[in-house]
Amino acid sequence: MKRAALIRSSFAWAILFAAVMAPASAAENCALVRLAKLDMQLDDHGGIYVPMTIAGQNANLLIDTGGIVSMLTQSLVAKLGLPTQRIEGARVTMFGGTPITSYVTAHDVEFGRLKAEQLKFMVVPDERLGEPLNGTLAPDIMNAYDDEFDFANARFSLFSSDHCVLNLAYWTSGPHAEIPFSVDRTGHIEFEVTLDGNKILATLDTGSSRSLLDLDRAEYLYGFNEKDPSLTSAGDARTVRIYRYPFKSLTFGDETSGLGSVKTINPDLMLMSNADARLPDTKEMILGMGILRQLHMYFAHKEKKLYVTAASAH
Amino acid sequence: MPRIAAAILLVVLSAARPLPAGAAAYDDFARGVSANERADNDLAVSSFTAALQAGDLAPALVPAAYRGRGLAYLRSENCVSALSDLTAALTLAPSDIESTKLRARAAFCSGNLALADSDFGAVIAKDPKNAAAHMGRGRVRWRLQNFTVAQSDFESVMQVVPKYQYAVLWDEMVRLRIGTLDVKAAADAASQFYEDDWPQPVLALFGGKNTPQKVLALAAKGDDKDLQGRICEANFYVGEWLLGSSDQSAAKASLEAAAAHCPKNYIEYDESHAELDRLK
Repeated sequence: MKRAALIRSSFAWAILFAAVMAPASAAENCALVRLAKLDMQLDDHGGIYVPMTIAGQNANLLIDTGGIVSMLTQSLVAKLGLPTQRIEGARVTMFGGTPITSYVTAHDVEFGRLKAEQLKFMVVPDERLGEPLNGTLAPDIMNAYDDEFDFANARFSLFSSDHCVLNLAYWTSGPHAEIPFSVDRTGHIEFEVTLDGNKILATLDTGSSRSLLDLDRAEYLYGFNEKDPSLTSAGDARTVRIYRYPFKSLTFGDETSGLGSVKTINPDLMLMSNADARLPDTKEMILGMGILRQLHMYFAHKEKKLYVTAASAH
Repeated sequence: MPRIAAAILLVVLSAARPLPAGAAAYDDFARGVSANERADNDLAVSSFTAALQAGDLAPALVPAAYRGRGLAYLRSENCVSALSDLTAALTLAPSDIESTKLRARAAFCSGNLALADSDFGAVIAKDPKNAAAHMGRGRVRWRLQNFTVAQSDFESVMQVVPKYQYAVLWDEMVRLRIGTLDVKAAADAASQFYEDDWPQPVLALFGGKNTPQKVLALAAKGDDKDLQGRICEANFYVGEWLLGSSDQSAAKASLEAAAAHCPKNYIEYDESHAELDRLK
C-alpha cells in the first residue's frame, strides 16, 4: 500500500501550514548546526519513522517527502483531546482518493532540539497509516531545514539552513555527488538522475516503498512497448499494467563532470503509467525507499543542492 | 505466484575506495529489506544473516534485521526459525508492534498457541480495529476449541470489514459448533453476495440453501488459476459443516480431501490437518 502521498492540494494550503518550529538555542556563527538528531525505525513497508513528542505524548511520524502537509492520525488527535477544524478553501486528497477534511493545532511540540508552542497538522484516518505510525512528517516542516538521511546509522537529522559550509557531505572524506534540486509548488523535491544514459526528473518520496517510472515516458525514452519480452509483469496483469524492465544503472550526479557520482546497479523500478498510478503527468519518476535506502543524502535547502554518497560511505 | 528474478542491488562510488567498517553489514541489511519487498525469501535470509554476522550493523538496525529475517523465514514456512528471530527482535525492541504481529503468526504456525493468543492480543490492545489480528486470534481460539471467545473475534472482523465473507463463514462455523447458528440469518448473509462470488456457495450451505454436493460442484466449475484453491476450501468448509452437523464420518472424508489437495499456503491446509489430528 502506498501511504500518505498527497497528490492534490493547493499552494495556499501549503503556505498556511508553513512550519514554525524553532531551535532551543539558535546558532550564532556560520558553522553547521544540527537541530534534531533522531533514531529512524523501519516499518513493515520499508518506510522510516521518527519520534516526536506532542504535549508529552510520544508519536511515531512516517518521514514522507512525498506528502505536502504533516499529519496526525485520528486516534492520536482524540488521545490528545485536540479540537478539529474543517479545512476551508482547499481540496486535499490522499493517494488512492481518501479525502482529508480537517486539521488540528497541536501544542508543545518537541522534535529533537526543535520546539514549537503550536503547530498545525492535518488529520488522517488511522487505517491509512496503521500501527506503529501516528502521523507523517512532510515537506511543510522538513523544507524549512536542511535534512540528512543517514540510513546506515539509522539516523535522521535536521540542520539549520543558515550556515556557510561549502561541502555538506561532511560524513565522508571521499567522493560524493552534488546535485541541484528544485522544489515544486507542493514542496516536493525534484532533481535529475540518469537512467541507462537518459536524464530523468525524479521526485523524492520517502513515503513510498517502491520507486516508480512513468511507463509512457519510459516507452518514449527507451523505445520499447508493452509487448517487449524484456518487460515483465510485476502485478496481476488482468487488473493493472505494472512492469519491471532490466535497467542497468541509475546514476546520481553527472559522471562526466569530474565531480563524484553515485551509481545504483540494477535499480528496482516499477513501470506504471501516471494515469494508472493516479499521479500528475509531470512526474517522470518517483524515487522510493527501495533505492533511497542505498544512499546517504543531505538536502541543503538554501543552496538547493543534494549532497549524496553511498549509504555506507564514511 | 511466479517469483520475479532478484535484481542484485549494489551501490558503487565513481571512485573506488576501501569499504569502511559497517559498510558490508549495512549493504547486506539493505539488500535483505529489498529482497523481502520482492518476497525473495532465500536472498532475504542470506542477506540478513550476513548483516547480523558482520557484527557492526548499527545497533538501531539490529532488531529490524532480526524482524526482516523472521519475516522471510515465516514466508518460507520455517516457523521455528521465524519464532526464534522474532523473539530476538522483541527482546531488543519490546514495543515493536510489527515484530509482535509477525511473532503471533510464527507462534501459531509453530504450534505455540498460547504465545500466538497473547501476541495477537497485544496487537489488538494497541490497534482494536486490526481485522487481521482478530482473524488470527479467532483461528487460534478455534484451534484451541475455545469457540465462544473465538466468535467474538470473528464478530470484530465483521464489524471492521463487513463484506469480508470469510469472517462471516468462520463466525457461522463457530456458531454451528456451539449451537447458536441462526440458519435464516445465515441465509440472509449469503444472499448479500452473488453465487459466483466465492465462497458464497459455502455461506449458502450454512444458510440451508445449498447441499455439500452442490458446493463441491460449484467449486469445481471453470478452469481458472483459483480452481485448486476453491476445491480445497469447498472440501474443508463442507467438512466443518458436516462435523458441526454431527456427521463425523462424512466430515472426515471431506477433511481428508482438503488435507490431501489444499495448497500449502492456504489456511485450510493447516486447519484440515489440525482437525484430522483432533478426530484421530
